[in-house]
Amino acid sequence: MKILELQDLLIGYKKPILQEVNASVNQGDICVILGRNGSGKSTLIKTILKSIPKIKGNIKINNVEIESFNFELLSQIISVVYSQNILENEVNVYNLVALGRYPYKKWYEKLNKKDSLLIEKAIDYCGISSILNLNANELSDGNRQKVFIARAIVQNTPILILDEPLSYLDVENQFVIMKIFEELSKNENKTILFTSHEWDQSLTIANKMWYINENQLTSGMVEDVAIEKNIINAFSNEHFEFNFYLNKFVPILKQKSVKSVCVICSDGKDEQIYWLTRALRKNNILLDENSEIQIITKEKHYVLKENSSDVSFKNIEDLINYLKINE
Amino acid sequence: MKKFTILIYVFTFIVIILLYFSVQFGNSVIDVFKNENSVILHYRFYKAIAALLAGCCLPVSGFLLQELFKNPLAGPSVLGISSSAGLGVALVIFLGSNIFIIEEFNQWILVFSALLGSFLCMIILFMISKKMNDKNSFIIIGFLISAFGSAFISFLEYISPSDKIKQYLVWSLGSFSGLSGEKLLIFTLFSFIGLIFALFSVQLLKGNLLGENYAKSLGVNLNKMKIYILLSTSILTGITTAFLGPIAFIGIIIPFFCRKLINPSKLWKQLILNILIGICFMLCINIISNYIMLPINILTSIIGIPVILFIILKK
Repeated sequence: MKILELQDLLIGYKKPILQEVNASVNQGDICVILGRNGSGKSTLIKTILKSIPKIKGNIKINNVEIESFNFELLSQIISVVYSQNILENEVNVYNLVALGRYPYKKWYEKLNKKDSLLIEKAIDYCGISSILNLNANELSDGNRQKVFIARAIVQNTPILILDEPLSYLDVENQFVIMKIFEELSKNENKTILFTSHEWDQSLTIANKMWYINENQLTSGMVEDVAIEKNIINAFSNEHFEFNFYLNKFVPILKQKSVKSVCVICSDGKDEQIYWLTRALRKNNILLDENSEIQIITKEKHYVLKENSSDVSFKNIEDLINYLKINE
Repeated sequence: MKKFTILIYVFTFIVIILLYFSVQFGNSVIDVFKNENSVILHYRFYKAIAALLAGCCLPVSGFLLQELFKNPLAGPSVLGISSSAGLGVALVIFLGSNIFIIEEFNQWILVFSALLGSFLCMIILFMISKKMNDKNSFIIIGFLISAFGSAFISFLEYISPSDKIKQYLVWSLGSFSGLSGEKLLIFTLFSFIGLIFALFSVQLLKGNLLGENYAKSLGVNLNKMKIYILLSTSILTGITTAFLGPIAFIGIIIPFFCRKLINPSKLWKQLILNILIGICFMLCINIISNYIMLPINILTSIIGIPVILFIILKK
């Protein structure tokens, strides 16, 4: 069932930023919004949240036009986590998370058992039970992000919108947060919509993608959009290209490589090969299966075979230095 | 028992004791229960009530402003709201009797002129705060408004006869005394209205704890919140200033101490504590002024300025 639907939407400030937006997400979807800086991702989010008026078109939630919701009602349908969470008040983590119950409370009502259960559940989800009494201002970026996500979960809305939840986080925390998304979508059937620049990571959990490029938004299943819009090329530029062998973006070599080698694994670890190929690339030495120079990785050393003579090296540094001298 | 409940009991007790002291002690000690000297008793009782009302109004006004602008240095005196109300009062004192012939109306005109002054100042502050992100510069805007007010008042002083200047000077130093029963009634009424608006705005401010973007997503009606605060702070500051003179820094000191005492994000508790501690503080100053007839402004500035310095240095 389509929970959020955009029809012929035109958004922007004075000038339109995105045109003819037609997209939708179903309940339980994890949808990532990708696009370069300034492509209109945040504007789109703000328009959905009614912070900026739309220029034309419809935004529908469960087939009801969003215009007919006031902020009070909307707060029980969509919760949000913004990208920069600067706190100006002194507030401890528990109270911040509990603020998610605000839309459901009259001024004379206190938190009841049901509220406390929801709060505890969100705290469990995000793994922040050890920091509940800390001042939210003093948290690390990763923890602060988890606390704000917990607050949004406590708001208990069918849709969660997050603006760049993965930025400023280390890889470990990025995966923790993506795992939270996965669980929310699977266990609670929540719809999650988030923007990201960490496209590689976000595509591994998202099942839907809204891809913004040149004032147009394309929506669909992640892999379909990726192929249709040739995402890999779109994110490559004169400095970076995608290396399918390494499965990631790598810098483009500036000068023509003079040497090529062939790496053979005998009993070294995968990790060794990974770092060795990276080091070779960084030092302008290409990998080529037909090269006469062969490097054999062993458990604790590297053997270089050239013209039937063997030289052994203890570490990559010595190996690279040798190759460079003999260029 | 929770810390907050204990604090409420303690401070309510202190308020009662201080009220008794306010009437009992002074340059001449009288026995409240024997009713020996009803003139002094009357005088001191009115004075104590005036101090009590000021102790409610100014800290609440400061507290709301600080929560709204997210700046611990915001307060009715620092942001120029007191002096704008003061300008309203000065206009009535200096020009009043030339325009209004019937003297009895003067105090109502005084009140409305002061309220109008503080109201206009708040509107200017709102308009500027929309365009300004830097909190420290925002405080400077407040000082500029104050400076403008005092420049205008100086001009009025310059062109006015000496009896009016004297009348203005006495008012401007601030005093709890000299309020008639009728004036006290007006004071109480307006304080009550201002406090009601303050109560309305607290729940909305609670949703504003994480800033305006999150407030919207929590369903807070920001315009409603701002209007309530605008009305509340301008009424509370305006009415106090009209009757007692400009009293500086109370709106910063009391909320500062309340935040030290209990969790700053518990706004309802903060509001109640602000009222209680504000009353205690003003009654203390009132008792001091029973002995030495020092103007209130001198006392509050001596205590207030070091506290403000402390807040700035801590930042």
